[in-house]
Amino acid sequence: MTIAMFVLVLLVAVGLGLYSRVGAGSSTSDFMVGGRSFGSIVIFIMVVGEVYSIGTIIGFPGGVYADGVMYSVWFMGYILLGYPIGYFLLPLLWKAGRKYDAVNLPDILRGHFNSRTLELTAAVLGVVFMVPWAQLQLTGLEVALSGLGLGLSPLVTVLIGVGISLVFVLLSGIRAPAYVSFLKDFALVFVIVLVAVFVLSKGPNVATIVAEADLGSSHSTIPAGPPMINTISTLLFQTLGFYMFPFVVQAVVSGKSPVGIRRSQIAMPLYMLMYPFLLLTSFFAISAAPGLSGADTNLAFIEVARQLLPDWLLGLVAGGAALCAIVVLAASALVIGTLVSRNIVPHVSEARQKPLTQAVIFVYLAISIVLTLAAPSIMGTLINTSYYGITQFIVPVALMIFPARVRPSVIALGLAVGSVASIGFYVSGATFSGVNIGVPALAANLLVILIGRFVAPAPKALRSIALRGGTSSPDTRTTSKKVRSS
Amino acid sequence: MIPRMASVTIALIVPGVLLITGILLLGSSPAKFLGIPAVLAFMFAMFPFMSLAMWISWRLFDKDADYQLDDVDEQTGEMHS
Repeated sequence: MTIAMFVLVLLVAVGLGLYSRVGAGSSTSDFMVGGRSFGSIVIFIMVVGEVYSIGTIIGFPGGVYADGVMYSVWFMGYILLGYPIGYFLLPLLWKAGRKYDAVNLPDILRGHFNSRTLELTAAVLGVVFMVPWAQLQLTGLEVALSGLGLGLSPLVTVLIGVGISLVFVLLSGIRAPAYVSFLKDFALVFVIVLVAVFVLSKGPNVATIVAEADLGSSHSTIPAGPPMINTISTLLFQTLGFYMFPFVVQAVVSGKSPVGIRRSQIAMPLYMLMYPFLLLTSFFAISAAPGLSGADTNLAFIEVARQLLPDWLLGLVAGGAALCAIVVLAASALVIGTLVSRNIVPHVSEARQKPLTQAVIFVYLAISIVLTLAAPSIMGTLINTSYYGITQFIVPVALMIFPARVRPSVIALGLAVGSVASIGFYVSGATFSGVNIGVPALAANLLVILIGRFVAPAPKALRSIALRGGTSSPDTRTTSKKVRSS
Repeated sequence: MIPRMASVTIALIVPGVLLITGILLLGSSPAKFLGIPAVLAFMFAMFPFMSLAMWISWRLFDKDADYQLDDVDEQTGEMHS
């Protein structure tokens, strides 16, 4: 019965993915950005769908299990503060995307700064820092499927998920993840509330659950000093990168109007009302499934589900969780394919971009599978790793809104320095007294911009994208047009 | 598409400062609200508050703002011509 329910959830998802092809065009634009036809509800679902991945349903409880409220506060805080930033920023990104006929951020940067170097740098970094995001999904998928108790090997597990993701993307492009996100977002909330209801009905009351979680070590406070510094710095750093993820930008430029995109931001924080339910399960797991450590803390949520739910509901939970990973994996793979075929490999015609994107998706998923199996990681660490690099994009985006006399090559250098610094800090194990290592990396990025501004300034600053007619010179638009039609 | 300062203050600055201040003040506190750690109860209250702040900005300032759609249409037309 467990397996039957699991398969049923995935079959419904595949059916929706195939249905998304109905009425869709076959052009490259339709494949990548749905013909720029998505309204505010679809944009809401897509952004929610791709932000709340399996990192929420599986990774979040694992993080709370290990680090208590410290983990939950930065995790919920950076998403929450990201929404008002998006409220002001996303309409501007949409406008720039439309003006430059862009499907992603490197397209926008090339159009605005008229720089192939900046486009290439941004695209390469986007690809590199999206790999941990795919690992995150595959790691969560392993955990979700382990809940079925089938004894599947990790390789078989990830191959199942990757196979379904490929069906979605190769058949329908961005429309499949968009449509399946409706089911996935419903499944996410349903699964979280369902398990919490079982915790409340079969476990002790909330106060007892929290008190029992505090018995070994305190899970309900953030110690002053480095832990608090880490919480606040991680929250602020990641909130800057929240809307810099390539898949979010691609979803935004798929929208019909900036008005709908802004309105969608207003409702976003209400979706977070699922977190109290998820926290309840997370705190319960500390006493119900003691002894988990390292990467095994990822099992916290599914262990509670296994203990409390009947078999058929466990199948539903595992199916819903797996769907979260599969949808986000599909969207991420599509974005990576787009970055390579459109921004990294030069002179690819519109007609050849689609097959090249599909080929790149295969390679990206293969690399992600190898890394997932070779280096099992705590899911929270994978989230942080992606953000170290992705947040660096806030600098060129800020310079589009608040122009300065900085050459595009300097902006590209800043991106590269910030990203390399973050990797260096991560590998070396530097701690900076608790400050998130992305912060000094971002400072290094900004230092490069500052030096470039005063040592070799650009002849003049570009117009802000916030101004009417304010993007680039007519020459830039001509260049953009040439590239598009090549 | 330049937002009014009042809109930025209501939708972003006030909730942002409130969020960080609340975490700093309540994060290390052992206080509980209905058995829930105080900092978490505060975060839960911030979810609807954040939506409310953006909604107020939307109603007062941004609903009828200039989204420069004509500007975009004009240039998009050039690029596709």
